[in-house]
This record gives sequence, C-alpha cells and structure tokens, in this order.
Amino acid sequence: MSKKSKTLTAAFLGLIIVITVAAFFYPKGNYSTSIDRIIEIENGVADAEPFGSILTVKSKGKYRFIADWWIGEKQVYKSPSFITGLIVTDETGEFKYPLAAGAIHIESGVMELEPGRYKVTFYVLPTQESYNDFCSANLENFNPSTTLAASFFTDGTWDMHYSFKIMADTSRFAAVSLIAGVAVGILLVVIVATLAIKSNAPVKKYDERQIAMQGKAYKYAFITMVIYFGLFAVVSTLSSLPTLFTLPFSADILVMLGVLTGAMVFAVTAIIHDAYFRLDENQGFIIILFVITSLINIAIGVVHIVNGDHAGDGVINMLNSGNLLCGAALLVLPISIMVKKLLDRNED
Amino acid sequence: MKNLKLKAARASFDMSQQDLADKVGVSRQTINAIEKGDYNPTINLCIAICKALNKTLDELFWE
Repeated sequence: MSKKSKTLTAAFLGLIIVITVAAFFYPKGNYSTSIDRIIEIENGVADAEPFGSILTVKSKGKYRFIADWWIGEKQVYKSPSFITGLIVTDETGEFKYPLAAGAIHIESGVMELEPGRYKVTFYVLPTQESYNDFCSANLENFNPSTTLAASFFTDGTWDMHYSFKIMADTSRFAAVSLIAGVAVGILLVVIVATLAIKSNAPVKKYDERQIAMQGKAYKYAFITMVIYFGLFAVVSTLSSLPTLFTLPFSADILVMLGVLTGAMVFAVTAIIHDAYFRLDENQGFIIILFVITSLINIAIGVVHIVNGDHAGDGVINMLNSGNLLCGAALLVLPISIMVKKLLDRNED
Repeated sequence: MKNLKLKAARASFDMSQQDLADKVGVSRQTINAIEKGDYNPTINLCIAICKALNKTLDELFWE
C-alpha cells in the first residue's frame, strides 16, 4: 500500500470517527412514558380521573413531542368512542402544549425546551360537553359550535395504551450525516478508482478455481435472495391485512436485510472456498478495515438504542437502525475469515 | 480422486504447494485442491503445471 493511499485511508477513517464522535456529543436526551389503562364509560361518565406522568428534561435543547394512543395491541390506530385530551406543562405553568383527539400519532414541531420537569396529563373526555370544556379552556381558536359525531361519545370499555415521548430533535444532524455519508462514499470511490487507474502496480487477479468458486457463491446468493424476497412479498402482503399481524420492521430495512443476506452468502461461500481474496492480496489490512468499519457502524447503532430512537413510531427502520444492521453484517466477514483460517490451521 | 502423481512430482523438486502456486500464477489452495482431487484444472493450468514440473500431461494427469 502506497504512502498516498495510506494517508487517504487514514483521512477517510478519521472523517468517519469525527462524525461518530459528533453523534455521541450531539445534544441528546429522549424521555418517555407509557401508560396502559382500562377506560370504562357508563352513561357518559368515565371512571378515569386525569392521569399521566412527569418527565425530566436534563439539558436545554431542541425537542419534539411524540404522542400516541390506541386500543390494546398496536395493530391499527383504532379510535375508542371517546376523546382523549393531552396537556403538557412545565413547572412554571407558562409553557403549555394541549391536544385533543380520538386516537392519534402526533409529532410536534421543534421546540426549545429548558431543563426541568414536564408534566404530561391525559384527560378522558366522554361527552361533547366535556370535550368543549377542555378545548375551550386549553386550545386557542377553538370553535365551540363544532359538534363531533355521536359515535365519538358512546358507552363502553376500552383497554387503552398511551405513550408520550420528548425526543431530542436530531433531524438537522441526521440530514447532515446522511449528506456527509453519501459525499464521503462518492469521494472514496472516486479516490480509489483514480488511484487504481493511475497505479502501475500489477493488477492482482483471481485464479481459475477462485472464479469458478465465485460462480458457485453467486448462485447460492442468488437463490437465497430469490427465496428471501419471495417470502418478503408474501409476508408483507399478509401484514398489510391489519387483522393478521403487523411487522415491527419498515420495508426499507427488510429490503436492506435481503440485500445484505445475499451479499453475506456470497462472501461467506467465497471465503470458505478461498475465493474471496485475490492472489497476494493484503488480507490483514482488509480484515482490519472490515472490523473498524463494522465496529463504527455498531457503535452508531448502539447510540441509537441507548437514546431510545432506534425505532421510529415503534417501527425499526433503515434510518435509525441501518447502521447496526450493516455493522453486524459486515462483522460476519472478518469472523468467517478467522474461522476459515482456524479450520485451515487444524487441517494442516 | 487424489492426484498423487502431481504431489510426487512436486515433492521431487522439493517444492511446496506455495512455490508451485507462485510459479504457475494461482493460489496455494488451488494447487491443494488439485492434489486432493477437489478441483479439475483447465487444460491451460494443466500445461502450466506440467511446464513448471518438467513433466508431460500424460505423466501428471492421465490415469
């Protein structure tokens, strides 16, 4: 490896480390509460007093409120026959965030919050009158002549799930990270391609057996991906029927999982048959590169888990958990290489 | 089927699998696979091996 390419590799790794460190120190702090409660309404009277919890915001910063409530299992956002009011206040009472809805997922705009305790209170509003009273007292521009359908206010018993989160607003950082990642990726490809074209060093090749074995590996990877995406099509179709089940994963991460599975099947098959590395290739350097890249990705994934934002809206998606998936997949390669070396040593 | 004739010819020149592999431009594992009978080389590789070991195709690859 030439001095120039070593410098470029070090610069690339340095950039990734800087972004990772920045992710660690970017203002964080996600606070959440969830409450399961059976609500009984009889003759327009609810047996539930206002209920809620207190969340402590530890550092000043930009945050979003995320509120969800639904009946029982989260298969669909099904409304009960009553309205829920939500009020968030701070200790001074100056800050107030009100909301009223049947069943909902809401993400507020970005708000600058001071450190302190924030009280989240849910109100059961079983009648048009209670709904009007709540909205008149808390919502600006509320029109008291608004009449909701009678189906919103009928008696019954509901097993409700309420959740509320105060999440650090990472949208700007996520956008910058995404753009930086794509830019670094393009830059890296351009640099490596330029170096490869300009280099006078003899081109390392695969021998005929390795090419044959790679053909076998491609075949296995292809079959694996056909099976995977066939199953994916069936399962995603079934999961679109809400009465059956709901997948806790978004489509983008499941597609990525399929692509990575195919890539891993190819790589592991090639490694087992000594057809992964070219002749005289610097295996040690590549293994170290795999391990470092994998660990960086896993670290970013762990940061998401620690912050509780590895899933968006309860669904694990590519944006929040993609790093962990890619890191874990990438780690398969050095592990496979090590196992293969160990097996070869025993064979010798 | 194992190719013991190739192994013997290589040993007679006191060459390791890696030495022979370097000489014919393949990986050590490929030479190992040929000797173990796990891989049937192309005619080009057979000729290259024969030249490296100063043998004929019949001597090394004909049963």
